[in-house]
Amino acid sequence: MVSLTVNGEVHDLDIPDDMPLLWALRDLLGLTGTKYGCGIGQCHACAVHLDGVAVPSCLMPAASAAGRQIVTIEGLGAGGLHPVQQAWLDEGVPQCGYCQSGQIMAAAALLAADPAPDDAAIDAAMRPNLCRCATYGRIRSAIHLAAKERVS
Amino acid sequence: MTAQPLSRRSLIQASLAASGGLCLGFRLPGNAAARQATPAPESGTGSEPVAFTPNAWLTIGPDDAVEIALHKAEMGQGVMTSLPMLVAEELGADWQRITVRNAYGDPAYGSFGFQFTFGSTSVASSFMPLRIAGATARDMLIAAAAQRWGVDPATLATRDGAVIDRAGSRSASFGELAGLAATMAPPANPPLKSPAEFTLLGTPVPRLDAPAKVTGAAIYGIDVMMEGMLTAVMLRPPSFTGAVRSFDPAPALAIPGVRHVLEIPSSGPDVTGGIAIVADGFWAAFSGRRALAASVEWDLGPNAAQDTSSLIETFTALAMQPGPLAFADGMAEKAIARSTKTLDATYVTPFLAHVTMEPMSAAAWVRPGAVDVWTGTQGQSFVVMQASAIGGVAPDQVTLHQQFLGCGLGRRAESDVTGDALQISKNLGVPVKVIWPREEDIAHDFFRPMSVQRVQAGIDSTGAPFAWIHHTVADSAGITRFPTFIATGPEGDEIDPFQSAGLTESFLYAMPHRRIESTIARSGVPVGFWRGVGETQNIFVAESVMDELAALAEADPIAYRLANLADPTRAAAVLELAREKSGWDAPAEGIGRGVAIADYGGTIVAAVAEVARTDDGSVRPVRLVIAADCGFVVNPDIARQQLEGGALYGLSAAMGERVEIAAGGVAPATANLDGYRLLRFDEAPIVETWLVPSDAAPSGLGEPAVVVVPPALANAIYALTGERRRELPLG
Ligand code: FES
Ligand code: FES
Repeated sequence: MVSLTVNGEVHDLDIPDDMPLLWALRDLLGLTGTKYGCGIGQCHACAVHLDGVAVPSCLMPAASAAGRQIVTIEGLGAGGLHPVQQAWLDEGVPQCGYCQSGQIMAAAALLAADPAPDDAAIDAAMRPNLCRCATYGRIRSAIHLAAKERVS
Repeated sequence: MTAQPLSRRSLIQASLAASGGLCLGFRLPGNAAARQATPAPESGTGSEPVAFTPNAWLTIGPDDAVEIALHKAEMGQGVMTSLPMLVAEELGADWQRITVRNAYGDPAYGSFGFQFTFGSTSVASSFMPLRIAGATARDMLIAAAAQRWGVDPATLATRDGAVIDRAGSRSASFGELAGLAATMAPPANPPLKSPAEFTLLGTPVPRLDAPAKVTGAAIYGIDVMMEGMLTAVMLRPPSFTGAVRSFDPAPALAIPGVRHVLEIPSSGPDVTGGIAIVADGFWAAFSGRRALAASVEWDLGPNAAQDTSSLIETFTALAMQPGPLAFADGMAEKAIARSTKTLDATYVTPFLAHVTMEPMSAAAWVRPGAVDVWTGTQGQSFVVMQASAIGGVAPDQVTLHQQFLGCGLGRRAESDVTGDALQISKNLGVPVKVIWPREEDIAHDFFRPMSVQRVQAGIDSTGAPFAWIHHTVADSAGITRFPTFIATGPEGDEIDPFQSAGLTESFLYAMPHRRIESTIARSGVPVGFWRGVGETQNIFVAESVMDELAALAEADPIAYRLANLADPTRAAAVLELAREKSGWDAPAEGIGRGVAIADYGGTIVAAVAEVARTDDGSVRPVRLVIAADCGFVVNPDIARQQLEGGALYGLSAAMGERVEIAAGGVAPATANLDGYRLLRFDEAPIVETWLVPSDAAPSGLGEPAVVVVPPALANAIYALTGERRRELPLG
């Protein structure tokens, strides 16, 4: 039995030791906002927050996340839109949208750690997240916008 | 009509408020997907609350809600917003009351008799029919109000979801009039607005799908879940011509959660059979796949020795000989000999994978007398025909539940994964969702064809292009799967028009002698339609060769193109725009610039790429300037998204993408995202997009930028380094 704290709720799951967090979230908890893209840590479509840090959930066994605070895209905005989600709408980022949960989780974790990141810091934080629709330019603008709105 | 200022933020907030917080401004695809438009009531007094459905495109409810049918796949290109805008504009609807449902099956939704989403054609092909649909409803609502008020319809108009009289003294909402409007005769030729009258079209209306896509609420095929559903993954042979010889299901079945291991036959041309591992969820199925892989014996088939270098060798040998004639103008062979200067160059473009961000996935439930399919597909009609054939039911017993597509890119025009889901569900009698692991998704893609292209060209004494013989050698997607695409060339040969796309009628330059030859290679590697299709290889070659000719003529690359356009009407303006916005005439220290231009499906698009040398001596792209004339722009923000994304998609291919073939299949080293190199965030240069203002009929924007960036990049590298790169990828 693995006890996971996801978006503030505790779930006790009977899962094999090697099941990645991604599949526990998607298949057992029905939290399908977190996406599968490669299963090998190369695309970060599966990014979630683990104690506030963005990590790919496809490689990490769910068991190793036990007792830690897991936040998924569904739990990001407390009852409304998180400033990063709002900035994503303001800049018109999503195209197909499939990668965007992971992008938003990465950006939110970046801004929590560095409220005013420069382009180099954004590059470093966002490099792991692939977007096949190549919305990269708007993601950068949206991160700058979210940082600015937070300050003002 | 007064134009309202539309800021993206105010509209988003309005739409969030109107739909109750984070609820969606549209119906999530699901059971509503296959619902047909309700027929208009036979009679009505105008007082009972009934819905008004004047045609296959819209329904107006007594509560004023306007529901618009979406017949195209939303795969990122924005049709869920841009197509409803066409209806809403002519209707005079209140945009906040628009909902959109995925719709299937009405003959009005078809192109050439099929409902599918392809070739950057959605806006262009919908521009008139959807506006006419909205205008028809508008005139019927106006007729209803005129009857109720006893006035001349000419004194009435629609605005913001109501019929008003022009004097402004009274109004009735669409919902109030719906019942009576349903009894009005549809007008034969409802007048359409002139562009000057548009209030919605031409404005950057925020995408209706964006809120669901930032909250994780958007449902893709891979996300579908239902009671009793099992999840399957496939294990296919490592080679394209392979088949299962034998396997032992026991190790897979020993994994907790694995329920079934079954062999699945091929579901169509260029699709291999394979083994399905069916389990309670993905992880058990994937673990079962790993266990099974160790026990299975494959027959690799006749092409087991095939690899990239042997294919290049074969293709190159073919390219060196004369090939089947696709297009001829003048006497090219003789003219080469009479040219003042000539070149003879061979170009190579690799096999490419689509890598839709969402790996292939579909769910199906086959039962007696009914089949349901849940997936995001570009090939709506093909999936329904397939479900009907596999499920043994009539097409109208098939319900297609269209979901969002995690990229289409041409990959989701195929129906191999739906074939898997249908066959497995038919075997087991329960709903089954199939998810292809990424390794499977790349290894069994329908690739962009590899091509070897030889060009012999010459210039005359003034430097102008004089002769051009161009031989493309590549596999044909059409020949196995869409034989009706195959044409007969001027000398009676079998020609795949996609293989010479961009080089024949839509070629932009004038020259007296031109000959295009096109050999179908038949290598057996499965190929398909990849965003930008034939032009993505051919324009790379043609625009690189134009640059080579400009260099031979010692001319500026833009000036050279301008001087030699066959029809400068639109192309010159696009080139001039790219020249101006890129600062072409002001050289920058350490920067190389390259240009390319093409006509893609009626859209004229040009790119200027800038490259610079990095500290480690490599060359990297630093800026892309895209200029396009696609006629009237329905939604300028979505248009820019398509140009930005298309430009970087083309750059990704040009820099790093390449499928390596080994032992008759995809080399494991390029079968996942560690070895198949997609462009990453920090590698993306600035992209600037510019649109030529136009009121002409719209043409597409999803693909054009894809095709011009690779040659612009190669030409920029040449400008910076003097090195002519004739093989992709360049990074
Ligand atoms: S799915 Fe986790 S990194 Fe790609
Ligand atoms: S928006 Fe489509 S993959 Fe990022």
